[in-house]
Amino acid sequence: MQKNSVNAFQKKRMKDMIFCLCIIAVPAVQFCIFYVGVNFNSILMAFQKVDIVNNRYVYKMAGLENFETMWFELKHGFELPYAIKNSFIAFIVTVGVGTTLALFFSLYIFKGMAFSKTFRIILFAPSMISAIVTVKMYEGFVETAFPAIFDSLDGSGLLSNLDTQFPTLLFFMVWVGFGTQILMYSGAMNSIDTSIIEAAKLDGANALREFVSIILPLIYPTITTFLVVNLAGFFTNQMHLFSFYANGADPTVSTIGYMLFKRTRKGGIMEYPLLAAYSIAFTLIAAPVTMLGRKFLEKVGPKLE
Amino acid sequence: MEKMKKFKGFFKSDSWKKTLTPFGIVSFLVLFLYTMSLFIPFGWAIISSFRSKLSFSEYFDGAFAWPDPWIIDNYKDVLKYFPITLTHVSPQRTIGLPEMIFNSFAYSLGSAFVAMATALLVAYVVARFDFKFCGVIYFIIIIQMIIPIVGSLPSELRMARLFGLYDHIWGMYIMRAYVSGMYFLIFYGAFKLIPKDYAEAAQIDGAGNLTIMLRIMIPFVKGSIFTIILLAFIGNWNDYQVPLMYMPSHPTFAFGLFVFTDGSTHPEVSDTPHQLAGCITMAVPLLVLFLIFQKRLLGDITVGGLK
Repeated sequence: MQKNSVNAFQKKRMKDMIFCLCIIAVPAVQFCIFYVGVNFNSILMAFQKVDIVNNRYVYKMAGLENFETMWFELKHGFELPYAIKNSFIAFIVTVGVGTTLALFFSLYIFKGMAFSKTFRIILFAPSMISAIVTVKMYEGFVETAFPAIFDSLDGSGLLSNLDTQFPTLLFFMVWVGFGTQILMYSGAMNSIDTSIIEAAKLDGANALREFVSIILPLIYPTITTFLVVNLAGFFTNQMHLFSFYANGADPTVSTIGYMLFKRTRKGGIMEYPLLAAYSIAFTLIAAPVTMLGRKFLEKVGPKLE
Repeated sequence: MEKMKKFKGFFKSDSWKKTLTPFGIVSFLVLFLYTMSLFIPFGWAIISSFRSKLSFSEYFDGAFAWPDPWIIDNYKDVLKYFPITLTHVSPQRTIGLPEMIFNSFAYSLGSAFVAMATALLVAYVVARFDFKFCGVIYFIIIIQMIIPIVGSLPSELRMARLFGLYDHIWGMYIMRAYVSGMYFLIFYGAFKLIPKDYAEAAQIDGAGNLTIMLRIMIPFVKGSIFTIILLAFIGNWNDYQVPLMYMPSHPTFAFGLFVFTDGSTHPEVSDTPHQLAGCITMAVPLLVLFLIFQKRLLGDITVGGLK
């Protein structure tokens, strides 16, 4: 009897396993090719160069040539040092201003204050429109309407003036970037058990105390997720530069994400190996930094009181 | 008098009572300013899109003036100059707006469905079964999400060419069949919340794994399925960089707008009113779609931590 039930259990486990394997087979193959394979290929390409033989692109081993070129560009190039500096500023502004404002707005919505539902729709609306549309409207406004309003600009637009160009681009990045964060933070706040907040109110907690001691610790996992994603995006953030300028952004406003994308598009296959070397170098920096950042965020997070 | 009472009553409502605190007032003002900062350029863009190139010039009326007369031709010009001529194919081919819209639907809807389905199925397996490999899959997805692989685009393009996926819309479906960490976490959380009793009861009644998954468990998360498809669809519809890099012979609407607003292809429509008319043509249908589905899109989606 017992043996029969053990057999039935084993049979069921086997059936379950076959079912699971069938379900994950396609994503697993896709992962092997387009994650493992792509990254393996990236490593390989970093040590190759492209030659044109009989009108065909031929990959040949090139040793450390690409890494030497990369090192040269870092020391003597014009764009790369700016790209690194600007990516860092963009990250600080996204986290410092963007995330803080997103939390602030989410709390307003969560509290159900005046017009909170309307504000929620409005805050999310820019995420619904193509970046190219918001970019062109913003560009048109700051380039033609602003000089008409402010005489002090002497007729020059905020994006044409090198002094105001980068801050204007940073402002745009934050201005259109609230959507998903608001959605996730207010969703996380809504899942908080209201009895906890009521109990804190009965104990005399004011709004600030309620936010710092209850809401923030309870939604902290969601905040951590976004901060980690932002940290991981340090090297890929294009700051919408391609939408603004296509391949022609001034090197002084460039970011790493924009530089890599532009060179892939502009340089074509001939430039792939050098860009693969960049990819390896940046990933070697980004991966441990993100892991350490995650550990740090978990350690310093607010505790529920 | 009656109006005055109504006005006072409005400010006595529960939401206003909550707002009339220092935090509430400051937040309200910041949000109001933000709203204005969105509405003013958008309204300005709509009005300017009906102005003539000459009137917009700084030597005439400048950036701020009411259209006089309203120039509908700007929109007609958008339709006229929107088509793209593909010079890299032989024989050369011109893609018109209807084909771009078809490409947009084919790419956006197909890719959204594939991305959603992949995340849904993998999340179901990982959340419901306790095999060791389920833990491994969860670990890989989280690691993939938090360890950034920078600049893999050249390698991906090379692989896409190698497997014959490059420059095909169906090729994008295969490339999009990866498990998105964010979608996975949403579905995983949703499946974890469903009590096991439902599946166990169905099993006792003789239902197999496929029946339980399709007829019992997936209907529980149909709200999230719809929201994710809609979000992914809108994301794909708006995206011009992926079509630009991976399927240059199948330009989408967003791709077309990128070329149109670039101005170098058709200098006749490179002025601000024409460019804005192109942008409004693209933005309005999506804003309408957003307003129709805003309750669904802004429903409570929760993403937990990365443990």
